[in-house]
Amino acid sequence: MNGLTPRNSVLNRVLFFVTLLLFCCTRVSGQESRHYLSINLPKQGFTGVCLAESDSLQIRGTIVNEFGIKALDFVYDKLSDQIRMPYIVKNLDKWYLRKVLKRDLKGILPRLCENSAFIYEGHKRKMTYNFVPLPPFDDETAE
Amino acid sequence: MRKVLVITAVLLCQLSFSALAQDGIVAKIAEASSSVKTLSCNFEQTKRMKLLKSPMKASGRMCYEGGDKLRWEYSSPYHYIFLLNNGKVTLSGQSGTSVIDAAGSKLFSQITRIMASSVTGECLSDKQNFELNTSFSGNSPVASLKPLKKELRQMFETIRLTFNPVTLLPEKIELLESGGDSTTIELKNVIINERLDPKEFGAE
Repeated sequence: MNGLTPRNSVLNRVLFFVTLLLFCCTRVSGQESRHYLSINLPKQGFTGVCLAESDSLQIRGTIVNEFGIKALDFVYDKLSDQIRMPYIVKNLDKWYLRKVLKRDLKGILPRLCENSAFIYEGHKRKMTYNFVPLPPFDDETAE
Repeated sequence: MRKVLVITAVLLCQLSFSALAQDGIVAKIAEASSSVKTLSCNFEQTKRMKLLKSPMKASGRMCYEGGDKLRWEYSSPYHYIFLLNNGKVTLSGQSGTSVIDAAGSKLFSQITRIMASSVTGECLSDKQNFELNTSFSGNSPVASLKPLKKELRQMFETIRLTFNPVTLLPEKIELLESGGDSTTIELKNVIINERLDPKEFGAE
């Protein structure tokens, strides 16, 4: 008698699969990207930071200026292939800008998760997005 | 009836005492800030966002000289300099330098004024722009400023300043947004009234 009843054996298998599933989920989710972003237009520009986190269902992100003042939030739903902007700063909150930004973000997001430098040519208004990965924060490096 | 009168009297006394206490703290902070001619320190900025699990951290150095001279420089994880000198703002980043006349933009002039007056605590006496409430966190006085102007209210719900109990100078600035996001700036190694190199406020 080794003490392993059929009920215990099933329980152990369930626990094993749950652990395996949790391990896989943590590997897939929690992907982060941090880029220094400059958006260039013919007559003006914007610089700031683009932060994004990805899991199996969504990519969530935000664009802030260097002081941390937020320009916009975005959520990409992988299943429906839709982008939402739960927040956009008032002076950018125009229907045509939302449309342009959503379309551009769809092209940007697959590359954002690669965490490498890239330039994305926007669809309209001669907008160019320049992404450069941020080095780790000093304190984080020390940890 | 007598009970109601007593309770009302006690409440009124408490209100007037707290108003007096608030005036006392504000006066002491105003006295401390008026003695600041120059200030330099390191800072650590933490932005917490409801949408994201990990906060965004940045750090750098800040210099202030009475009036309107301010250098706010980020050195990690990006390099960026905000320089305010006589109403002109110079922004230097990884993609170049631009000069802005702060007086030309209402919002920009408000932001630069808040930045300059927050580092010394001068903004506590700005009754035109803020509704003020004071409290204590342990021994440290805390001032909560609610912006009265629409432009600022759209960005920040509350600006909370935590003061060092000894120097009565700000050691923590929290910018709370209505959506639940917040930015905390902690000022470290604060040095006051030491001569600053004029180059600190010159164009880069």
